[in-house]
Amino acid sequence: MASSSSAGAPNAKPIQVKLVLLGEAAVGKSSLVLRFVNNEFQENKEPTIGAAFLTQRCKLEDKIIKFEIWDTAGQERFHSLAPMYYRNAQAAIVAYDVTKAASLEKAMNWVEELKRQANRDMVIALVGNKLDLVSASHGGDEAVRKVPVAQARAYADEHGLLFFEASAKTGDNVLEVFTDIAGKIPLDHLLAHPHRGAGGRGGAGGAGAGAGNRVDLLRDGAPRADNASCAC
Amino acid sequence: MLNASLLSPSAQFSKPAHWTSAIVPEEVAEKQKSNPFIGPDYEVNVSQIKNVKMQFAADAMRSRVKEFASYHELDIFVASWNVNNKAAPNLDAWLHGPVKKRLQGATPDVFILGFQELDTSNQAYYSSTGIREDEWTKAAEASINQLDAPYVKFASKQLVGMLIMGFVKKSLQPEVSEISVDAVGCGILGMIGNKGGVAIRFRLIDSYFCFVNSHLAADTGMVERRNQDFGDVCRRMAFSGLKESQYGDYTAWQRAHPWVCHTPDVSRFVRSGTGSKAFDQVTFSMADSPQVVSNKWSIWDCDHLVWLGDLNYRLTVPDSEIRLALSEGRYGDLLKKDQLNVEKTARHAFVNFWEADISFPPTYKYDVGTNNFDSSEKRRAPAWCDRILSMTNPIHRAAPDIDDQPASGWNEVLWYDSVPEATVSDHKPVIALHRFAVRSVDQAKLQVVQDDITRMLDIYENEATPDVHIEETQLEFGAVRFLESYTKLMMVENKGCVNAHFKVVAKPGEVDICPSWCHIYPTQSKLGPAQAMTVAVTIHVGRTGNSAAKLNIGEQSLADILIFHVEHGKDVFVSISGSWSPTVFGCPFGLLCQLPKPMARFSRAELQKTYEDYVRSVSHSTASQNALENTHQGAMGDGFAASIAEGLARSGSSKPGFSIPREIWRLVDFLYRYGMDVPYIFQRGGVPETMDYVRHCLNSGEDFDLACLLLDDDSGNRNSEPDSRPSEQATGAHDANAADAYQPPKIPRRHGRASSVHSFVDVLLTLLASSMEPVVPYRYFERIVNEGYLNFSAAKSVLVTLPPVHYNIFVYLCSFCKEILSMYSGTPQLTVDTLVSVLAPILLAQSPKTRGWISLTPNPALASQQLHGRRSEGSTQARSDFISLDRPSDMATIRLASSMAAAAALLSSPRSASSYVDKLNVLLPLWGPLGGTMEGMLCYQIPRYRPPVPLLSLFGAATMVKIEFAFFPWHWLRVSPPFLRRSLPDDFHNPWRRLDEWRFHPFFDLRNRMRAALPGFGIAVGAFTVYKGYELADARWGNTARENAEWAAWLEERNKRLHQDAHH
Repeated sequence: MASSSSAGAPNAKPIQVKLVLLGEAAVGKSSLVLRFVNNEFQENKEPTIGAAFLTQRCKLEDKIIKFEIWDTAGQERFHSLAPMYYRNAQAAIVAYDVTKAASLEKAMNWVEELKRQANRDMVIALVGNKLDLVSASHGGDEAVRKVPVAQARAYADEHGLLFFEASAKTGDNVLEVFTDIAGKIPLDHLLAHPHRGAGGRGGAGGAGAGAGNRVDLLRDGAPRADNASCAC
Repeated sequence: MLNASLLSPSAQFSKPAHWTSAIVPEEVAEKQKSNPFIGPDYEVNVSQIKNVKMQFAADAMRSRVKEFASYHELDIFVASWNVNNKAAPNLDAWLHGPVKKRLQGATPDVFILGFQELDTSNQAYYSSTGIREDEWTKAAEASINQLDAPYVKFASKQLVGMLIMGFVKKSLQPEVSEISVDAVGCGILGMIGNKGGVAIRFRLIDSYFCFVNSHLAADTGMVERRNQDFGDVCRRMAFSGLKESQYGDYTAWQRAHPWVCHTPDVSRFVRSGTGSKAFDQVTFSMADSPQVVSNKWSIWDCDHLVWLGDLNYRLTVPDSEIRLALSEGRYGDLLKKDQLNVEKTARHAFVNFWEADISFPPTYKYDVGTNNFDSSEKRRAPAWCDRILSMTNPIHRAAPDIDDQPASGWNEVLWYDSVPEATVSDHKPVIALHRFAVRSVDQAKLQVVQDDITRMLDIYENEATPDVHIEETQLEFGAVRFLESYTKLMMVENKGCVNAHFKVVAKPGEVDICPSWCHIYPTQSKLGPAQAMTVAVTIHVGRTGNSAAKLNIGEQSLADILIFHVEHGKDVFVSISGSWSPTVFGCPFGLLCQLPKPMARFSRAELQKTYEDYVRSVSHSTASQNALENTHQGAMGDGFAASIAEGLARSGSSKPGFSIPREIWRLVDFLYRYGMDVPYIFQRGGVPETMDYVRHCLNSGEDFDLACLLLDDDSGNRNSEPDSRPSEQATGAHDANAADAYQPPKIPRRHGRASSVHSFVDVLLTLLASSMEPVVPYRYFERIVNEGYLNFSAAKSVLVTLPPVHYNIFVYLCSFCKEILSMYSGTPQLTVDTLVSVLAPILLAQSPKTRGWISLTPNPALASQQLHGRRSEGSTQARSDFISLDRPSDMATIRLASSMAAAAALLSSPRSASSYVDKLNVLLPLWGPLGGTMEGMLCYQIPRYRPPVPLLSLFGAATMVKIEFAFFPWHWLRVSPPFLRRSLPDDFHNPWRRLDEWRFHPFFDLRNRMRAALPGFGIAVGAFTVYKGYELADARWGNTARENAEWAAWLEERNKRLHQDAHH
């Protein structure tokens, strides 16, 4: 018989966070998203050509964070198009495959590019996927591991990244990746400038950095991004 | 789904095929029904998403309220009494007595007491001393507290004679919160509180209650007024406290209590029917009600609304009948005539309120101290004035539309009665015991439900994002040749549940969605669910944008990524690629001269290396340029035969480095041999297939099949065995890229010599126009246009500074032209003007980088001055003026005028050149449109274009266009006086804004317009004043004054005279 209802808590309005997934092809970016959003897993998923868009709300203490997730194509030939998606993003997941040493190299390149070109306050998480292949509890074999945990963790610590090893197949650690990112995002900043924070829903529509006006039009014109909030 | 197929060029811009399934798949239709975001037309209204979410969440919460809320039964005692300005007696008979008697030991949880006419003294209107209130409160407390449980007063509100107060059991007090009270007066002047209502609103556990105690207008005939008072109270009652509460504003409260608050469409439940005007004002639209606007609660924002008080509705029956019926106990008959019941049924007031059955005698009017109805002189008719009604929130009604009754167990009236023992007043009090279901919400369970709804919303929202699939995301076009179109079709399919609006967008940092050699149709469209359409991607390397040149030297490659952006959805990338077959078209002339073997035998890398060598050698050899020029000057005067001889001599030698490109020589040579006498040469387009063949021969180095090209089609075998070309040449030409399975164009059907010649001319012009630099390189353009050569020697002084190969080509072509003109001298079939108008824009062209429009002035020298002046300003202002000023055709005119002068200078003797320029001033306006037409004809290959009377129609069109564009003084009509132009903003690219800008200039502000509205008004007023002054002065001191004086004297004299006459 509590006399107050938490549904009416002051911060019930969801905070929009644009999150982008980067990493080499076939490390399981889309699978991570699919596990997070729909809690499902598909074997032999066809590669992402382009960039998929999904939303998911995530609860953090008394706040609701609405992730606008852009899952990008990993193939090298689409590399030049990535800025379109990580521009204005508040968070990034850089994924690699624990069974492929080269994928970590690529992930490091992505991290450097993000540090160089993206939002300064961006929260970056380094995620080693396919943990199930190397963990004995899921019938994996430690010998398949090509990226030692220590190496990746050291790199992440050095560059101030969040670090996880996860498995989209079993769902291990996937939720933790997203909730930890949510926890690390400077929300006060977003609340103070809701429009800056909620500029996510652009995609390629906002391409063409040269025409500044046009970008703004498309961005703010998308009413979905415009402080959309939910009743709960 | 659909195999990519190679289509003919004509299909390039054909309409795409839609596969529109008339029936939307069942599962999609089902999703549309369940998904709140998807509209009936499968469109997602993004502007409404926020509302839809709120609505959905509220509905879902409401429908699942049982999962997190439990209900308790609580008894609330409601009583109302018009005390007729009497002092407080012992209230046991009214409160303590009935409760004790009827509840047998149990006690109500809450008491709500309403009083009317508590204090009718005049003093009460302006000062509420609260003496009466205290008195009555004490009396009530004393009576209530005789019950077993202790009670405390938690709220009260007095307005003049009306008082409402609430008591709650002490044990239950902590559960009462968010208490607020308000009063509305609508008596005298519609403001004063002799009539009106007072109300308490509070929250008990998790249910909201609102009790309104009102005293409405008296008298039998005042039904309308009572209805209006009721409406006023409804509308104006507003409970504050929202801002101080944890919610902060109305929306937040509404969001937190979806199971209490009204949804917007609830207005229809409380809205009146076609009733009286007065009550029509009580049509509640929740969104803009004054309460919501000022962040207050209205009386409707509760689970239970109870209305008590002296409502003053009477019986429309004669007094005697009433008394008779009452004595016989026929209450039912009388209640049918009760005004409140009548008005309620007619939906004039108390719509959707309900009342328990009345089984007690009328409560008005009694003789004080007795139970007898009024026996005074007035003999007021008895009536049920004092009533208790309730309204249940529509959300909790059993059947909201039909029935006013609450769902069972929600609000039960255990008894409803009057108290005859209370005889202090002329009214009897009424009492009722309500048993309400009171909600208590389990926060943990509520949380679970909320999370669940959030999850559903996420699922629905993701479902409502468009999902577009493209079958073929890699388009491989194979070998791509110059001026040929290759089209592939992509199947774009909407696999989502909503309409998808897709469009192709530019890559970051680029303006165009694709390179100039690529065409997409359509670039944007809408797809309904389960619809699919084809998008055609065409590669066509044409003359524009120097793409062939860039592809040849490897500056560009035939590869790109297209981005299909779906609005509010994902992006799809489509990679396109093709392998470019190098061609002689678009190579620098210098490089063509140095190529040791036919172009088709070069591999890509080899060609690039040759190009780099060439660039290096050019930069080395610029020093020795002057030496070469001298040798070429000799060739100038020698005429065509010598040039040809030289060309032949060079081409015969095997060492790389011809003086002019071999290809130009081959084309001109063919024309010289076989085409000099063809009518309308240089004025007609070629036959596409012949041109394909000629281009192929140039690339591969094969010889032209003269027999085929020259024989006329009346030889009979037009349709049979078109391919008679020796096959060994084909295989020889293509061993370099045999893997490509390149199909060389078949030898054309025999169109005859004339069309072959036209085709050759066409190919020649294409070759000249598509080169990286025109024959007169770009850097000379501005100089030539600015200086506008009017005589031979000046033109020549520029021409000799051209690079050697370019100079050779220029001279070679001019010599050829001279030859051709000599063949046609004196006939109208080919005049020097026509020839120049065709060749000039190709020989002398402006670089696409600096292309802009300049203004038209008949004199080229003047034009160049103007151009020069504009350029030198250099500011943004000047540039915007420069760009926006004039029309495309003017540019062509200037270009033509100058190059014509230059070419004419070369073609003719010095003397005739100057006379030609004289003529030029007259003809100038013609050249723009004419040149444009020819250029258009040549560039876009309209194959079947045969003007019936070619030159006549051309000139006719030109004359019309001339009148339209050149001579008509459009610029007079243009609103751009100099002072306006100075005030133009910097970012002045929008023509509409530019044309509109003058409206905002201070020149056109209101003051100036008023001033201009009566032109000369000021002057007229001044002049009139001066005139009037003059008139006055004149009348006093001037001529008029003198005249008047004279008249007066004369009159006096006359009168005198008349008097004298009379005397006489």
